[in-house]
Amino acid sequence: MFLYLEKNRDSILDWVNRYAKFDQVIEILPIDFDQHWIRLLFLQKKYLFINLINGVMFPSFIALFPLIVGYSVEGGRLDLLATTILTLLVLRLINWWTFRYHPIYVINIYHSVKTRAYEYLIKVDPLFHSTRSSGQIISKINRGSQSLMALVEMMLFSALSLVASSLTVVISLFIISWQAGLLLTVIYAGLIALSGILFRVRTILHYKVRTGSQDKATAINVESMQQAPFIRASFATQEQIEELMKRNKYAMEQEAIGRRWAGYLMDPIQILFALLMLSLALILWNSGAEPGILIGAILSLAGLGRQLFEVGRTIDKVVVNIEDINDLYEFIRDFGKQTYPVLISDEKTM
Amino acid sequence: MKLLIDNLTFSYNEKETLFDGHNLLFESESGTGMYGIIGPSGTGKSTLLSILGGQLHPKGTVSINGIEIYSVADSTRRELIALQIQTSTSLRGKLGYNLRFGLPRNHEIYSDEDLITVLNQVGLWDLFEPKDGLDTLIGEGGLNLSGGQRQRLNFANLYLRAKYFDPALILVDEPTSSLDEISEKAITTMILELSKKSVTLVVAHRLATLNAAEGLLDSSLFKDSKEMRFYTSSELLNVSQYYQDLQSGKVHLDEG
Repeated sequence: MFLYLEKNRDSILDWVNRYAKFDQVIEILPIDFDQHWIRLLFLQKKYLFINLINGVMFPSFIALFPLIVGYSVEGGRLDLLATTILTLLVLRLINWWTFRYHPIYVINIYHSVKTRAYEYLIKVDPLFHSTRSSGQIISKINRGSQSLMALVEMMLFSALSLVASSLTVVISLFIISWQAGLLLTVIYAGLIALSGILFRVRTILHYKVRTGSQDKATAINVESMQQAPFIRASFATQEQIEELMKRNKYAMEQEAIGRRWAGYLMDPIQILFALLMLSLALILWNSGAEPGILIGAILSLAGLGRQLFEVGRTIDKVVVNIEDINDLYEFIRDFGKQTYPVLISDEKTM
Repeated sequence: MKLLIDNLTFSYNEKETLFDGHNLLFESESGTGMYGIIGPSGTGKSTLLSILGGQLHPKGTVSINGIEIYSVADSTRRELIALQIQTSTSLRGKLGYNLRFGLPRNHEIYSDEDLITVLNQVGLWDLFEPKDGLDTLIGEGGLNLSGGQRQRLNFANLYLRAKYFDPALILVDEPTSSLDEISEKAITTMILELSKKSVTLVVAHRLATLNAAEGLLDSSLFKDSKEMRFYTSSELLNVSQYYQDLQSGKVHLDEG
C-alpha cells in the first residue's frame, strides 16, 4: 500500500488540492507594518467569524452540559435532556465541519507576516543591509511570525474557549448562589491581574536578554553557513564552532531561565487558586441547592478548574507573544530609517 | 619542503573529470620561493589550489612534508598551509576581528600597531582610520566594502596568518584580480616577502604578478599528461602552446 501511495503521490496530492481548493483560499495578505498588528487579525473577516463562533459556542455548551443534565434529571425533564444531547451533537458536527477554516486563517496570517517582512526588507536601500546581520533579521522575522501564529491559535483554541466557558460557569453560579458567583469572579479577576503583572515584570527584566541571545545565536549560525568557504579556508572551523556553541548555549540558558521564571511564578498562583476553588466548592455545598444541580455545578467547576490552571500559563504566553510581535514590527519600522553610514556596534562579543 | 600528489582523481560531476590519476612531486631544499599556476579557464587551477589547501577531498594522496593534509586537524593544517581563496569576503565584526581571524584567540598575537602597519602596506588604513580605526564594523560578507577593499583585507589576514604560523606552503588564488596597478604592486611585494620564508604558490590573473616566479605549473597541460610539474619560463615556452600564446599576447590570463 505504501508503495502504491509513493507511486501515485502526485495524482493523490492533485486530487486533495482540487477538493480542498487551497489555491483559492491560501493568500498572502496585504500588511502595513506602520499600522498596529492587531489589524492583521481582521483581514480575513469570514474565517475570523467562523473561528470565533466555533471557539465560543462549543466550549460554552460543553461547560454548561453537566449543569443542564443535572437540572434535567432533578426536574424530570427528559425532553430537555434529549434536546441538550441533540444540540451537543449538532454543535459537534458544526465544530468538526468548520474546523477546516482554522488552519487557513492561521497559515495565511503566519506566512503573510513572514513574506511581507522579507518583501519589505528587499525594497529597503541596500546600504541599510550592509552592516546588518542576516541571522538577526531572520531570527526576528521567525520569532515574530511564529508568535503571531501562536497567539492566534491560543486565542482561537484555548483563550477564547476558556473565556467563554468561564463566563458561562460564572453566570450559572450566580444563579445558584450569588456568593459563589462573586467569589469565582474575584478568583478570575485576581488570577488574571496577578499573572498579568508578574509576567509583565518578568518580560521587562528578561525579554531583551532572551531575544538578544537568540538573535546573536541565529546571527552566527547563519553567518557560519554563508561564510563557510572563508572560515574553512582560514582553518578556523574549530574556533567558529566553539563560538557558535557558546552563543547557542547562552541562548538556551536564557530560554531556560525564562521558562523557570514562569514556573516559579506559576506555583504560588496555582496553590492560591486551588485553595480558593476549594472554598468555592464548600460554599456551593452549603448553598442549599438541589442535589442534582449542585452536582452538575461542581462538575462544571471541576471541568473548568483544569482549564483555569492554564490561565497563568496562557497569560505568560500571550505577554511573550505580544512582545515578540511588537519587536518584529518595531524592527521593520525602524529598518531603513537610519542615515548612512550605519555602523551599528551591537556585536560586543566579537 | 616536499609536496607530493599521488594518483589524484577529482571531478565536480560525472561528465567532467578534472584530475584522473595525476601526480606531482615538488621539492624545495630552501623551502622558499614564489611559484605560479597558469592556464585557461576551467582547467583546474583553483581546484588544484583548493585541493592543496585541504578544501576539497579528492581520491589519491596529497601530502606536505610527509603529512597527509586530510588526516590532520585545522590546528595542524594551518601550520602547514596558509590559504587565501578566490572569493573575497569577511565576517560581520570589527576590522581587528577580521584581521585576526584564523589566529589563536586566547592571547593577543599582534598588537594594534602591527595590524595598522599591515593595513598601511595593503593601502587600507587611510580608509578605516577616519572611521573607527580597528573598531570599524565590517558588514556581513564585507558588503560595505568594495571588491578591491575586500580582497586587500583578505590578503592582510592571510599575510598575518602566514607570518605567525610560518607554514611550509602558502596558497593564494587571484589575490589582485580586483585591484588597481598600485595596489597590485603592493600585494605582489608582500607575496614576494612571504615567499622568502615559505613556498608560495599563486594563481594570478596577470602575468606581471608572476614575473619573479621560480616555476610555473600550466594547467593546459593536465589533459595530455598525468605528470604535473613546475617549469621555468623558458622550459614552458617549449612545451606549452598556451604559454606561447600568453607570451605573444594572443591570450591573456584574465581570459583564463
